[in-house]
Amino acid sequence: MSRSIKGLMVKDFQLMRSQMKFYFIVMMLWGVVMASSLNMVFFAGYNALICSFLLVSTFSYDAFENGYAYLFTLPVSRRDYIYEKYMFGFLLTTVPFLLVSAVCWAALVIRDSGMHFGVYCLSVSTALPMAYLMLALEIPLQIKFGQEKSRIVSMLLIGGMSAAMGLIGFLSESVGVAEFLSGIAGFGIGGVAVLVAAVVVVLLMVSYRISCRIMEKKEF
Amino acid sequence: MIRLNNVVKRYDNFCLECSMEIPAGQVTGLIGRNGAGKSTAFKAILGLIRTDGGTIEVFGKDAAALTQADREQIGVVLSDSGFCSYLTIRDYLPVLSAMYADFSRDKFTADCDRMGLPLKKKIKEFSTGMKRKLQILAALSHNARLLVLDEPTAGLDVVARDELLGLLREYAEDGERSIVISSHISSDLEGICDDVYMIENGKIVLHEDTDVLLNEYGLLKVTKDQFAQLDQTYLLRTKEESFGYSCLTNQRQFYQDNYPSVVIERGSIDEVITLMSKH
Repeated sequence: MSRSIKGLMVKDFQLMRSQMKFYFIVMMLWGVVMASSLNMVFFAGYNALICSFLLVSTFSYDAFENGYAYLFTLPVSRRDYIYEKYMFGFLLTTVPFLLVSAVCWAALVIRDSGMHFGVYCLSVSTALPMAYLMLALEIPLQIKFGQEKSRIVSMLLIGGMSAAMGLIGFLSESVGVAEFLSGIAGFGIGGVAVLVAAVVVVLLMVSYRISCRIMEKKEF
Repeated sequence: MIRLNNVVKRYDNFCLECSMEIPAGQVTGLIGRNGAGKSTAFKAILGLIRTDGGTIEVFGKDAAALTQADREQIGVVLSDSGFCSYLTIRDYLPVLSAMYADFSRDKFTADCDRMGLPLKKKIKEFSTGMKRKLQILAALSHNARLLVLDEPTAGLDVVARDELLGLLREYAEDGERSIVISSHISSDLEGICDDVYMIENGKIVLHEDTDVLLNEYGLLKVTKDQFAQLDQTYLLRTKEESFGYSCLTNQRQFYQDNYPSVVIERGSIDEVITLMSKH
């Protein structure tokens, strides 16, 4: 890891430290609610999405009071900055997800829920690709539009994607969605996991390239 | 150390067109009114804006091709940007340590202490002057070969200004390091700069050694009759006043010798800015 990326990681970690109190309070409250209903699978997945959103706040801190200008006078290239955001977003999403998932599993074992470990892993891990896709969507939007506008644009995009999914569902018979899904199911759990991972990696790479291009064009 | 060759940057209502050279071991001042293009020139040097023409070299390389190691050799103060306000100086210590191979943590914290900058207080609670001190100390903390300082003394009281200018003089003493500095406080520049560029409406209108400017430039204050009889060969600028004319010359001695009755004041950066900007 280059010195500049390490420095940026440390900076974002320091920024996150001030957010941690808020994060822990939210997680504690949700944890109590979820533990009482034994809905630990949902809780673990929800945690991953919350963590992916935490990355957004680091962009706001960086942009505050034209902070980007000074940031890019430090020995930090624009590509370093973007690369670090994806790396930090990955860590910020994955590490708490693994920790919270382990705690939730422990809670399920203690409460003797009877859930099989494999089923649990499969259930909670569906949230992780969603969290990574949120990163792939949010990072370029944050760089392009800033916090306020990107919120509106991401809502429009998510709304548009939901509408598209609804339309596909409505037209499922004519466009052959059922056949497509049954074809994917034929790969088995392992095959589907590899397929999902590949799609997520490709989308993250596309997102990274778009983010780099947007950042290279920006002036401060 | 820095060379700007016909650099052009166009905005809707403003165009920067400038050439400058800052050699190694030189302290160069950039003067001009607000909006003249000083910050735009600094941002072009630092790669914060894309230029529309010309070339910029830093350390003999295209500014866009500087490596991380090259960029570690540059310390910067910007007039409109700084450290993230939500962190403390203590939070920034590991960041600077990670980014700069030559970051002197002990010296930096000692300097912060001496300048009255609390390590554990969030930077957003600092005054403007404290934020400026922090940027200057950070720029001086990693043994940079080049300092690019846009209004580094803005918001500082007289004592802090003197102290920081002392630090900058000390920094430049080794003869290998360069500083390019802008300030609206002319006495700061007169005391520290080897030469000054004046920028007006995005164009360099004057480049002169500070010693020449202070010793050979002068401001003539003449009545209309005196002005009519004056040899105007060495007048750079003339401005009509209630009493007659104010005239800027780079040959003060000539007018002192030949027109002993004319009131002639010594040259200063303030007068150069005032006279050169009015036309």
